[in-house]
Amino acid sequence: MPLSNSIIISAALVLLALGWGFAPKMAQKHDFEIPDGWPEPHYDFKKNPLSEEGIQLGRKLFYDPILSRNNTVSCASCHLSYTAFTHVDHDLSHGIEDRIGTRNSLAIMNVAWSNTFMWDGAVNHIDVQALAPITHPKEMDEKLGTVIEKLKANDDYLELFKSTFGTPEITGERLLKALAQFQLTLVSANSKYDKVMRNEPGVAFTEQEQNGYKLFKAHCSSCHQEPLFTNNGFANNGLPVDTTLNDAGRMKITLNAKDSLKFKVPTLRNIEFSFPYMHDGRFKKLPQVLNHYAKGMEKSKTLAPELVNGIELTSREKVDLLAFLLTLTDKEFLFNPDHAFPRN
Amino acid sequence: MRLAKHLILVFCVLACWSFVPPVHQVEVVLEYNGKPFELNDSSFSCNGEPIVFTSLKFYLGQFEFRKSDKQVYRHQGFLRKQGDGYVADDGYHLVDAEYDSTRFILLRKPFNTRFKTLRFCLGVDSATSSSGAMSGDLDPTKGMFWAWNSGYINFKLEGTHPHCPTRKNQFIFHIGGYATPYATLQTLEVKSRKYSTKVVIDIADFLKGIDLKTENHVMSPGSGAVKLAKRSAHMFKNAIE
Repeated sequence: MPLSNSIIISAALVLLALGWGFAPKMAQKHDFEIPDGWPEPHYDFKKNPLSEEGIQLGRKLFYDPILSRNNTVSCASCHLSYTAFTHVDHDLSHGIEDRIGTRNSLAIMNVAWSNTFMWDGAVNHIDVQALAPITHPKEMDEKLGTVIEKLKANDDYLELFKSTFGTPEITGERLLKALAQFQLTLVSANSKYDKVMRNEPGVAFTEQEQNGYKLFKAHCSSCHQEPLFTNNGFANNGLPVDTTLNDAGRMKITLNAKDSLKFKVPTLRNIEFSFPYMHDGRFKKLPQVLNHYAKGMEKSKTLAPELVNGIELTSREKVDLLAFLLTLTDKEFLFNPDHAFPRN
Repeated sequence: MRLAKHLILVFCVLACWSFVPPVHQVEVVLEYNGKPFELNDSSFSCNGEPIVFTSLKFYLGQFEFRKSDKQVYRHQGFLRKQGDGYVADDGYHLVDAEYDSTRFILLRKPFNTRFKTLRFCLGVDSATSSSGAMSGDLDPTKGMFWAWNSGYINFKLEGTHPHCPTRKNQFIFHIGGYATPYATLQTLEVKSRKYSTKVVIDIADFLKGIDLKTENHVMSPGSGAVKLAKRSAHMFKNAIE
């Protein structure tokens, strides 16, 4: 009797071990870290748990021109890691066949804390954000269904989808969730500003930066709220309408006249690298932005109440404020090899 | 001993029964002026001129079995065929006139409930519309999600009619929008039988009151979409007011 018992037990163990070997390998969980002192992210990670495999799949997709109609344009074409994931040097970003769009690409960072996307908030969730550039005729000009057919014909992708999601099935949902996973890891929280706030040893603001920070809190922080340097809202900051574009901004989405000429309040993090500035990229340099707030604003019904009197600064104050804004540069983020083109 | 065997048998049957969830079938009947609705059929007419439909797709969801306002049982997901078996799935059901099988919806209902009516909505609710990438019938590959103004197209009807002063006489209705004041979700209720319910939709009733000369394309949220969404509630022939 004891013999047969032990046979049964060992057989069970062998079967269990075999089952273990054949069971699909689970993707390796990735812990999303919330930087010290930051609020809870807006993104619901329970609906799309981050995994190392998912992030790498998203990264490969982000850098792969397979998402565009003629396989020439990738997400990274307009969102370069070294420039805070935006398209520098062009006022209006260009896409497939050098077609020029109507706005300056936004920087991609700290998206887990954002609940609206695009300059007019046309997109309501980071998961579905990628649909917009993939399908736009001036960006990637492709159909989601065709992207999926192209991916299905690629053994590398079948393998990556399998290791991320358990089966090699490629769906719109999985493609979008993988792209979101990579973008959610693009967290910038290691600028000089952050280190000063965390009281890290050996890091301190200079007198100039400290004074700039004081000016920032007095004049800018109601919209560009710390620590994300945006309130995730929309505002009219008094830019005279560019009549070649006649862009009404947020009003196009809400159809409410109160939203006329309002655009997303962008983060100021890594602003040193994300030029040109504003939704139409009209300012190439930061001093031009400060001059705009001093005396370039056009009054209109929807002008942000905080800006009605302009932000008058002395030239000394402007220099100090700029010095502070440069402390928002996060080189660990900009030059993080995990964010760059995947070289296997 | 024999009694015990019988008891075990009875117990097994009961156990199996309780594991098989009761299923309720909803059949969506598509009509045009009382005749079976078909895509690309040139025998239909509207205002004395031939009308041809090239696409009809819409979402149904949030099914509730109701006995009274106090006794309401939400359905417990859809049963969908996958391979040889069925899988349960939450979310919404997309009826697509191109695929006849999509007219049949299998709902899991709570065990042993009595009800008189079935309530449901035409369209996708606001929470689902802003919760990111969805699977199944809500997957954006179904062509029912707006990329440049996030949200689902609740009801899609496309076709041609000589009154449309548009390219190739096309009319295109993509009705959606979840945000106030332009929400387009419609709630409907029909009399239900114990195991199945018919939902009869007559597209001619949707087009009544629409002047195709002037109203021939709506493809974004707004007051035009709201007006047409209200119109779409009229096409449910057996709806209870």
